Amino acid sequence: MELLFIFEWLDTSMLASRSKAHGGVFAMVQTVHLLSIAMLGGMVLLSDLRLLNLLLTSVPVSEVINATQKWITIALITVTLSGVYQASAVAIKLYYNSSFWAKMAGFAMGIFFIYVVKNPLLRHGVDSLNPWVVRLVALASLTIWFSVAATGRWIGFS
Amino acid sequence: MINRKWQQILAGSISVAVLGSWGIYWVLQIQSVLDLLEMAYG
Repeated sequence: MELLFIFEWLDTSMLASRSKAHGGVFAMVQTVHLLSIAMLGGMVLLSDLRLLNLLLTSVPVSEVINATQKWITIALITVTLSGVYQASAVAIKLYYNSSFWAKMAGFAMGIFFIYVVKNPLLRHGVDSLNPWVVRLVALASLTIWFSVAATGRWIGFS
Repeated sequence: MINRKWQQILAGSISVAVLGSWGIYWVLQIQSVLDLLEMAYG
């Protein structure tokens, strides 16, 4: 599916003219984007390393999962909104960047994994699940988000 | 809501697919680096 028209629209939108004209605002939004990434990464690490019994082992799994789920959702919303703002400044350049598409594919996979695979599974209660499935899910989640971070960083090199 | 058994099968299968494809990607990457080294020094 051809998505160039979305990027062309974004490139000529009011958002783009603002993000290109106001460097200070862009820097602030970028800071919010980076802080949201840090929060998302931190919460994913907390949640998955607890599922692997490597972190916070004295705290019940359900408590860690419930505490992190809310912040993961907030971080995902913030990272998306600040990401669209930043993308508007370089929309056409991003469209032709393969690392950007790798990051978006990983990001979509990460969201699918959290809301369709991981959260519904953990709703049954970790104690009632096969421990190997829980470990696999935690490892897969870490792998997906590591890939998103790595491809996101790679945009800067490509 | 899907029952617990099917939810575990779904989650386990998707996780294996993710980890498997990630593993294959890195094996291919390492293989291509080894091929380059062989071309350069082999």
